[in-house]
Amino acid sequence: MNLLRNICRTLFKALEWLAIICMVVLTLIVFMDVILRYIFKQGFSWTQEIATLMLVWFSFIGMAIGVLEKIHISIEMFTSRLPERAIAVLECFNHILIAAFGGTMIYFGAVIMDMTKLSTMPATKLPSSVLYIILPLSGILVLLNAVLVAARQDQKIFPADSRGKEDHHA
Amino acid sequence: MPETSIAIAIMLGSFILLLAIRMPISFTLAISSVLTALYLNVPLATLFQRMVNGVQSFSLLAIPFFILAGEIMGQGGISRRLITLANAFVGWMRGGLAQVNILASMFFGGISGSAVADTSSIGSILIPMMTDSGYDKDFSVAVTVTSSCQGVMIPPSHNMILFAMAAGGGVSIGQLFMGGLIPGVLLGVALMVITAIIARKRNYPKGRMMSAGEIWTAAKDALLGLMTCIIIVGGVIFGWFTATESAAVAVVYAFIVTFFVYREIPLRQFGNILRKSLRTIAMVMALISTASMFGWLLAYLKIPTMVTNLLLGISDNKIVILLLINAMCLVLGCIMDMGPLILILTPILLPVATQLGMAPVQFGAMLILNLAIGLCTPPVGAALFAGCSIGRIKIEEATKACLPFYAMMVLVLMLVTFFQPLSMFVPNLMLG
Repeated sequence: MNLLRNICRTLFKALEWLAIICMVVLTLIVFMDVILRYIFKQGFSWTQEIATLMLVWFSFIGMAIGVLEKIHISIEMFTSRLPERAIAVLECFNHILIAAFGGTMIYFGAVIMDMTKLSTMPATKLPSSVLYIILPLSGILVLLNAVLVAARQDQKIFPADSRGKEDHHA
Repeated sequence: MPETSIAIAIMLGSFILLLAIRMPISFTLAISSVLTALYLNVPLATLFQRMVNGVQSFSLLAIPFFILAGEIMGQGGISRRLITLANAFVGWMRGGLAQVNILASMFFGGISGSAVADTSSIGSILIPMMTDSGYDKDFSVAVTVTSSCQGVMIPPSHNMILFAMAAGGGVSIGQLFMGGLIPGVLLGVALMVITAIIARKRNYPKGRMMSAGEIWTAAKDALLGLMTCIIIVGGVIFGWFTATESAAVAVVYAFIVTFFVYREIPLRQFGNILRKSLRTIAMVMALISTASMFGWLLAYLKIPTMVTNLLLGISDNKIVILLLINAMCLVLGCIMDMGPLILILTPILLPVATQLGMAPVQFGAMLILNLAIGLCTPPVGAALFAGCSIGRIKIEEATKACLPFYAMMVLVLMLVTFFQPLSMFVPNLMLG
């Protein structure tokens, strides 16, 4: 069990870093493109496509990480007077539903990858599956994370104090 | 068309039910879309493709960039400098610190589009300072919270980009940015007026008049930070670069100013800033992605047309309908956060406004100002919650102190709704 938790923790950290690196590289690509355009009067043809691809990637990774960290906002006012046990039951129920949704992401992600397997992206000529593979991949993570939350294992993997207590509102 | 009615019932029913039992809003949107699509027998692969395509947009990239730039500047000591600058301008007035609070929020709005970030960074400095100087605590919180809403109006505002996305891409982000400028400043002025009246009545203290030299020093110190706003706004107005590019430039600029010029926080803090921003961004992007599934089904079921016909059936008087829309949005804004509401309401209500002859930019300014009021109203108000936790007072107390400020906000909302030049003057200048 401990080994499994360690694996989860490592995987989670690695994904977080992947998303952060995407974010930094993304900024640099767009920034460089502006600079090059003004110096050499022409930018890269592939920047927009690569930047957008990375945006999709880190959005979906972030969404999956968010399930485990419960950063996705919900409305609490209708249930705030319920006893704690009832809220725990609702939370478990919700995360089972989210896990099921993760499952549909995996299945239909695979369907879409199959549908688009022959098409390529216009500027970079990369296969479209580079884009759509994020659906099944993040689906697996959403499923896994939601199951962890539903089984109340998330606290054991990430004790509450190690998570930032900041607010995440837009 | 019983099939359509049942589909709408499934969609709305599951949406409301799931929201009520604490399902995160993003997954609520996704799951009710899947349920509806299952009933309608539309290919689910198309729906999931929408989920990816919803965030696959170069313009959307501006959102993570703006959030990141705002976070870097906010942590890097810019708030203190903005407060010093505001103090040099308005600190001498009766209730000076309250006026400083409002003006500093106006400056801060030019750097970050987040009311919560504004409340926490300006409020954590000014609320203790105000209560120490003899201001009532509830009043201090009320001023901080309501003035933070200028941030979502004054460019750059990532909420404006959300609106542009939800509107289907036909609205220029640059024009939307500029459309929020006058309403945002006007909101600040309105809050300053009511603050002046209250301050006189309660005889709040005033600061001293600053010399020209002191004002100059404060301005010089804050200018580097305020340049972020100038880069973005200038770049977009003069067409040097797109909103997305300006945002990327702003991130690099903010990084250099914070870590190599101001140097108030060590470079290793950057990792924490990135991690914190990643979470905010992930939440917003998840909403955009799932809201585009929901929006696709709304359009498939022709709900926007139905709502337009319904509203126009109630009355053909433009004023009545706009008042109705505003009232509805104010109520929704009280219980739900701004981001998801922009994404859900825009595709439904924008056609109504266009039908009434309202320009999309004006409608955007109106909708966003309206929903910004919801950020500081109970029972769910992100900025109100942040302010109350900093000031350590109860939500009820703060809400009561907010009442006169709400009145001013609604007044500005009505002006923006019915007086077109407020939102359209600057965007029209850009065109011409």
